[in-house]
Amino acid sequence: MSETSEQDARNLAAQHRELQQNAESVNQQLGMVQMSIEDCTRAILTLEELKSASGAINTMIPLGAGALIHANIADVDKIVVSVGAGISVEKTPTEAIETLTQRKEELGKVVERLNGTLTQIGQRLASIESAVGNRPPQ
Amino acid sequence: MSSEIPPQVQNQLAQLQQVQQQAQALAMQKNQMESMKKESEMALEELEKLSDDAIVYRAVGDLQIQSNKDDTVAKLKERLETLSLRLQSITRQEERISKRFTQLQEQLKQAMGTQGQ
Repeated sequence: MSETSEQDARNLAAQHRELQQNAESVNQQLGMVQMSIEDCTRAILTLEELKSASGAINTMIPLGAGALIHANIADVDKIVVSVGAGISVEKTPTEAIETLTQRKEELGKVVERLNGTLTQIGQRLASIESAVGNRPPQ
Repeated sequence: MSSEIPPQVQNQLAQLQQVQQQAQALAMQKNQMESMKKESEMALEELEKLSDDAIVYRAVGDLQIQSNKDDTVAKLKERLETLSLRLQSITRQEERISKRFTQLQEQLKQAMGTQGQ
């Protein structure tokens, strides 16, 4: 194998490794964003339920390790929603649902963007693999 | 030509590595600052939409302290200003380190060149 083609092969291998690491990193980000979307969905569904309830609501609060305590929610007119940077705002259930839905949509766009990045990385990996596969035997 | 690297070149290589590490640390800091700034800007945007009598809470350690819109907006703007200044400072440091890196690279090239002759 000539020195140049050996160098090329090494370069391709290094590129392949780097792209695989990038793909892993993007996959991790995707997982985190999807968890945030699920979080938003859960909160929205809970708020929808609470909004439709009338009067005080009897519920149970988890203490951890499968232990729960009975509690009454006296007021569902005020929901405190985090807006980032350690700041939370008091909103009506409808406003809170609106905010969370908007957040969910934005996260959906992030998922699309990350999926696009993953596709690009996949294409580049495939082109490297085909380049390596098409190399004439030395 | 001896295969051993002269002490001067070894020293320059060590310096180059050190500068590289500094650059990486700065890049991480800058990333962190930028995301904090972005988060603060988004929070400010949300606050601007609220009515003046809206009830706002600020995280102080593990506690949420009730506040009002005006105070919170003022504090956020102050925080944004601080973050902007820090970012400017980091950018200047990055420029200095980048120059130093290029300088060291040139010195190394020259040293390797004279060693090769």
